Amino acid sequence: MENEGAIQALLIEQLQLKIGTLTETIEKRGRDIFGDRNLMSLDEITDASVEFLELIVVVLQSPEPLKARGPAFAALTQFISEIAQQILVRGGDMEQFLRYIMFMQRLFMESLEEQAAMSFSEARAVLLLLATLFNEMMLSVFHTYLHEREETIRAQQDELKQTSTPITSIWDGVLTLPIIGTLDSQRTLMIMERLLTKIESERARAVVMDVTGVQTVDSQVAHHLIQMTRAVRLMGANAILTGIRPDIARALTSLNIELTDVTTRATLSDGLKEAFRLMNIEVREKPV
Amino acid sequence: MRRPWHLTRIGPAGLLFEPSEGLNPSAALDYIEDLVQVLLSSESRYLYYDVKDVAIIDTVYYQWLLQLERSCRLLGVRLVVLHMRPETAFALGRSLDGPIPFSCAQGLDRPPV
Repeated sequence: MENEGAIQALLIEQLQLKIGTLTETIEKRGRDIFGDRNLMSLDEITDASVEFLELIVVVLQSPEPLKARGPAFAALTQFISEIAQQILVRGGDMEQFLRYIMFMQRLFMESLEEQAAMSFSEARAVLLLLATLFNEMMLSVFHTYLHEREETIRAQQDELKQTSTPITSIWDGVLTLPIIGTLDSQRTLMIMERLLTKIESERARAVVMDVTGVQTVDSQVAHHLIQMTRAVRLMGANAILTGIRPDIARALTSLNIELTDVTTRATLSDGLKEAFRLMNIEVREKPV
Repeated sequence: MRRPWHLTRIGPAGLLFEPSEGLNPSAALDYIEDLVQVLLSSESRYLYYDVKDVAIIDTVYYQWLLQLERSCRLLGVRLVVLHMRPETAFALGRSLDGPIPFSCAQGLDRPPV
């Protein structure tokens, strides 16, 4: 512990001695990397460089500098994460930011090389401490990057789900719902929720659900379709299932799925005709 | 004894059933006899059950509706459930494991399905 304390004191001393040069070098490098691409303003780079060094000193002054849950260390990783997020949001490259952190680590090490009085064990301890500290910083950048990517993917998936299942009112009281792709539980719930709300707002009396674009039907998908048709019926509307391809019909037959309480038609066109018939609407060609 | 519902005559052959908050669906058998009596005496052919103010239709409540539907069917009366809310239909549609025996409609002015 005594040795650790001495190492920290040595690092703090070096940092305080060279704070001006270090800040200047870090700032210059930051301007080269981020300034040219407008990822950070010059003021932001200056502020970030100063704050970064201050936070490093605070971490080294704390009794257990690498304790992950310590407030000083948490403040440092939080600061790094916020910068990383800012760069990502502005369209920056994470690799460059990581290389910037590696540059700062090398800069610290180089500044200590001038400390000739350091023994081998002291040098090893200093290197170990710095490596651990900077590795943790890079990990927090990595976590931020992953989090941002996941958020982006989730937002894209949500948007895709919204746009891939358009519920259209094609006639007063008639809704169409073309289902394309895979019908999993999560998607079924989302479609059901939107469809039932639409039935209420439009006072729809018929819903034509077209499954021509559904790739495969297993027992779970069939179950979801039946759930949807029953929920539509509970709302006082007729559900008409269309577009059951031969392979899907075979799958439903082999799965012993009971569709007796579901109105089915071969094509979307037939489904619409059935919807119009239920509503006593007659569509016919105008005589020439 | 005052029953936890309100009945209104609708046209020559219909009866509107509006449950009140005190209705206990697990006591279905206690209610059925009274309702059958009313349906017989009014010569109704339709019983419109309004669920507009029913927040949750769980399995117990659904069983009560099924028992009521069976009783209506014995008398040649069609049970029509009215004004199901989207969230109720959503939850119920997911929990059902068989066909819905009663009819549903969006209101008295809409045809039942």
